[in-house]
This record gives sequence, structure tokens and C-alpha cells, in this order.
Amino acid sequence: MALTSDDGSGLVTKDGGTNLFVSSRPTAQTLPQGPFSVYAQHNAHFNSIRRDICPRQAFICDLLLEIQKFLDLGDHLILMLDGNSNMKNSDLSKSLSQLSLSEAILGRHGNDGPATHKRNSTGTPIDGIWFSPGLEIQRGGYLEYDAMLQFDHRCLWVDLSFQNAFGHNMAPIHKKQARRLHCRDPRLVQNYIHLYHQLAHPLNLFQRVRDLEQRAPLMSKLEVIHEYETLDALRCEVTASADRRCRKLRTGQVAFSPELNANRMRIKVWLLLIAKLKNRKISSRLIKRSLKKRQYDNGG
Amino acid sequence: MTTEVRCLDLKSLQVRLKEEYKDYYKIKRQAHQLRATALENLAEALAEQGNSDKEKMLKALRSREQQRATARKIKFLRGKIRTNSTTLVTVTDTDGTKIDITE
Repeated sequence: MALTSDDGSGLVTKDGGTNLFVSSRPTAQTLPQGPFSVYAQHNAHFNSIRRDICPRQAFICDLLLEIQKFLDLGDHLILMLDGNSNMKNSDLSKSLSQLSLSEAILGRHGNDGPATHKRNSTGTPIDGIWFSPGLEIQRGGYLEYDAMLQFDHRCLWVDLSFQNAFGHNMAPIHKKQARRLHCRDPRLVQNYIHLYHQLAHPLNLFQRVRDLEQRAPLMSKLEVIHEYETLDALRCEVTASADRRCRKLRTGQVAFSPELNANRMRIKVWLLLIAKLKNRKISSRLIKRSLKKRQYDNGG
Repeated sequence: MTTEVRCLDLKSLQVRLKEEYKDYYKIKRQAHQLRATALENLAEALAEQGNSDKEKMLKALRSREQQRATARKIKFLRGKIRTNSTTLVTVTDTDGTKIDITE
């Protein structure tokens, strides 16, 4: 027996794993009846290949081996089983439990479930749906006989959440962008206005607006709309640019390291020298000290 | 002042500054890795100085870093992350108008 996920019974989850659905049915646990029973046929097959094993035991061994392979790959497994044996306590259920598989319906509702076969008079469920760890049903149960199909077994059903079965990719969290421009600080407003004028001046924006205002009565409506839209697009660009540059967000969070500090020192030296050349009041000793530090950082 | 620096004019200085800023932003992106390397070097130096184990020192330094990060988060939650000096004062005039003083 070989279980494969290529025959359409496997579904790929969001994290790249596979949910494998397997339906299976071993031979009956009771003693074989007649030469044409399934047990007898399987027994004959094993005899022909010289494998001295009970067909039911062979089924269990092969099934466990295949399940283990998929569990090792990290796949989820849903095994729908007509076990022909008690799903609460039998060789098959014990073997599956050893692989950390659990019967979903009994696990949810307890062991007082009904018989799942018409001829069963002991009240033992011989069918079950086994889940590998990580899968959990929301609802599940047994339907009445012949509720879905004319059949001597009950129909078993389970309801599995989509997220549990296939995983969940969280929507990306959008970081709230800080507003650089606000009216609480007059310096900021001044800075914004200054930048706006600085950026609008080379584009001749204010003059063009005045021109449009004067020429508008002589222009057609379409021309006015077109010119207005052009100016508006320009204005939006300038506004956005000034907004971006009006305030530097000093968020810090830059971890200190000697390399970074050396770089900062070098920047400081160049800034001091530029200021000195621009005839600002800068202490020569400060420049000397900074240069010395810079040389020290450079290993000079 | 070194002779090389003395000979530079304003334009050359500005070019140097621009290059330095380019390097700075490049290094800034790797700040956390550089910090980790610096801590390792520091642990090694401290271990040599104090006849201790490098691993122990490194563990202690990393634990301290973790504590600092946690404390900073708590400070942020308490709204105490910025306690800089006052740069803006709003005063009410005799006629009731509010004036912001920034200088």
C-alpha cells in the first residue's frame, strides 16, 4: 500500500504543507467466513508471495509506515477509516494513537457514541475520522442510517475551519505614517511656508495663477479647466515636497557602534570647516580637537 | 589643522561632506549588526582585562542591552521618551491673545 498526494487527495496549505485526505478499509477483525471472503482473498495473496502475516496486521503495518512518512514531511493527515474494529480501543486505534493521531468525533463528543454499522449490536463505532496533531474539528458527528446513501454504515461528518486546514496569512500591518506638518509649532509652519515658496518660485507658480485669473474670461471653458488642472497638479507636487521636508523626524533608534561614531565625527568636522569658511563664529580649538579625533578614528 | 584640509575650498568641503553622508547612511542601515560586533569585541576586551570568560561577559552585555530596550519601551508607553528642554512657550497676553514664544 502506498499513499500519495498526487492522486488529488492532497491539498496544499498556505505555508506550503499538504493536507492529505486518505480513506481506507482493512479486512474484518472477526474470523474469516468462507473461501471467498475478503480476508481469504488477501490471505491467499500473502501466501502466494510467501509472506506469513495476517492480512489485517499487514494492513496496519503498511498503513502506519505510510502515515509516518507523511507526518515526517510535516503534512497534515485526515484518515477516513472503515476500521472494522472498535475505534475506541482496538489494535488499529491503539496503533494510530501511537502516531499521535486522534479520532475527531469521539475526541469531541466522548466515547458514548452509537454503533456505526447496522448489524452491530454492541454499540461500538467501527468507523472513524482520524486527524493528525494540529487539526481540530469545529463540529462533527454521525448521521442516521441511510441519511445520505443507502448503505449499512452511518455517514460520518466533520466540520473543519478553513484557517485550521489551510493556514492563515496575516494581512500586512500598515505602519501609520507620522504627519510632519502640523499647526502646533509656529516654527514648523514658517518652515513649511518658506519651503513652499522656495519650491514654487522656480516653477513660476504664483505668476501662472495670476495669469490664469486674468485670462480666464477670454478663454474657453475647456482651456481654463486644462490650465487649472495643470497648475493644480504642480501645486500638489510642491505641497507634498514641502510637507516632506518641513520637519525631520528624529526617531533615534540607531544603535551605537565605534564605526558609526567615527562617521559621525567626520561629518561633524566637515560641517565645522564649512561653517568656518562661511565666516561663522566657530572655535578653532574645537576644529582642531575634532580633526584630531577624526585622525584618531581613521588610525592616522 | 592638517595641510590637506587647509587647502580645501568650500566646494571641495561640500563634496567631502556629501560623500561622508553617503557612507553614514550606508553604515546606519547596518547599525544593529555593527552593534553586535562591537559588543563581541568589548566582551573580549573585558574578559582579557578582568580574567573572565568571554561568553559570560557577552551574555551579561546582551542581557544589559535587552534590559535597556525593555526600559525604553516602557518609557515610550508612559510617554516619557522625550524629556528635552523647553523650546516653545505659549503665553497669554493682557488682552487674552495667546502668543507662542520660540526664541
